[in-house]
Amino acid sequence: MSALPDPAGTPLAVAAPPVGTGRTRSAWTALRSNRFALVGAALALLLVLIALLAPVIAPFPDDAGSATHPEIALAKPSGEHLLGTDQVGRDVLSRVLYGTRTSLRIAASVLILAVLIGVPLGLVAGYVGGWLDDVIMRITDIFLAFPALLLSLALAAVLSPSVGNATLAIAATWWPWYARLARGSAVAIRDRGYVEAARALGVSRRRILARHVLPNATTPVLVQASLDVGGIIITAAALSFLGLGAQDPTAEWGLMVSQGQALLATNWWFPVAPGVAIVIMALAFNLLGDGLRTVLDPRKVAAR
Amino acid sequence: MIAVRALEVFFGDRRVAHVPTLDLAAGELVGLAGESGSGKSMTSMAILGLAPALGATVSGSVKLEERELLGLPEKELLDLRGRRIAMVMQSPRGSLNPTMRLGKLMERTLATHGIEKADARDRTAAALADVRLDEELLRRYPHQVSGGQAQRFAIALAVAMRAEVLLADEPTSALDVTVQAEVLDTLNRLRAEHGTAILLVSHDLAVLGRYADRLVVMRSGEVVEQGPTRDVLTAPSSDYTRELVAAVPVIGAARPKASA
Repeated sequence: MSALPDPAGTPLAVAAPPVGTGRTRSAWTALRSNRFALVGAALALLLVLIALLAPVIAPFPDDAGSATHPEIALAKPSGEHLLGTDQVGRDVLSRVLYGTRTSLRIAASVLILAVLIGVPLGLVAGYVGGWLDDVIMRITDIFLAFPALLLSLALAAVLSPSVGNATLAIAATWWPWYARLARGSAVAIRDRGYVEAARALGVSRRRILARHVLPNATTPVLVQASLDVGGIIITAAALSFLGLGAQDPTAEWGLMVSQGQALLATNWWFPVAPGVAIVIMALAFNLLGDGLRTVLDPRKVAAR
Repeated sequence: MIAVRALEVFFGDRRVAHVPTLDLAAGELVGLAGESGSGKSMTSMAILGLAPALGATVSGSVKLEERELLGLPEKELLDLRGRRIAMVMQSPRGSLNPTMRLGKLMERTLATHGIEKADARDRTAAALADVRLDEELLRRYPHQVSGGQAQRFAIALAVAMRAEVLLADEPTSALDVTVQAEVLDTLNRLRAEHGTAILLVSHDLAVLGRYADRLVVMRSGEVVEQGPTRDVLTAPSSDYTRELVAAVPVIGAARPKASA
């Protein structure tokens, strides 16, 4: 501490955490004490690792693509094919593992699009206010007025069925939530002292939005994003299940469930395996998101 | 330095502040007194050109040296704010962005006004020394400093910008008494050493009486009294000021005034 007389600062300075400790580390400390969040984080990390290492850990990497082995089609689980094979003889385990990649890629793309569209619109609407706020939020309301899955279905049906178009269709229904969320944060932050102070220091509106409003609005967006991963993956699987998303030979869980559903009575492991994968993925990110919501409460972090 | 003439601030049809005349010279500390809602904060916001952003309409004249500030394009106002006219806010830590270390905040504020990096470093060091803060503070986040430190840091920002005018809106009302004196002494030193013109807005007549050269007293948006501090305190001309003065507890008075 300072060698200069500082009667007021000293007691607090002693109690303050060591210099260099930021928000990230205190958030991590809090996360560790929340068991469910920790399980969610571990599962999510595991899923990301599986996605990254799919080519290494999948027993038959080629089966994730267009390879076919009709001679072993619909084989029962065995030492070689732990989860059996599908209708053209591809290893189901390999395809489920590769499906992690597809699902995470869709989720990430949708979230990036939704955040990139929704957050700037919401921040501007909330911070600037007035007629601009009305225009932006009424457009948002129009999108929100349609049931999300129905709108996605309609859009995906209009566009040609593919993973990319399914991503666009889902993003189109997801961004309004981020616009609303960001607007709420911006309205609250607009009147905070540091925004007023920045204005008094001659900081331009654009910079205030980028440096003072945006960084303080990220927490709710981050939490919402992690909570949304599950929903997005389920929606993507639903689109693929209905034939409006991923197409064979893409390894995608929804598509696999649809390919296997007729065989539920005889080869139940084929449709059930990707179904279980969807559940695990959705659960992992919901737990993580819920935990983050508790942990990242800015007041809690600041008080640490 | 600052000359306010016939300043009127309206919210819709309601006049929330009316200041016929207010002058602030270099090195002078003028106290603006009044209870909440008296229009004193609005007056300082109007001087900075921030009142319109709050939905108010402003008329009259506010001059910085020879330059008229009212009606100046936003772009030119942005350049003046912080660089020539700085502000210290009421809430000490609330005025600092919680996601930024103080060093970054200082750096960016200086960069906003186009001050070169090397120059910015020198200015920062000098400004912190001026307000008696250790440079170590720059590595901290706002929640890791005390209220007094935060407020002195806000003053340091103004010093680093070499602002000629400082508007301090209730800078000490959120602080406890010992820390208050520390912040006020810092302000007082600033005008002596740098010739900064300071407008100190406060509801605390005892504080203003001790530091201000001149006092302006406002009530319900009107200036009810204005003059050298001693004259206003010893021979108040308006009933309202008399009441205010009588309400100030006097330390060392022969008897408590409670019975009066």
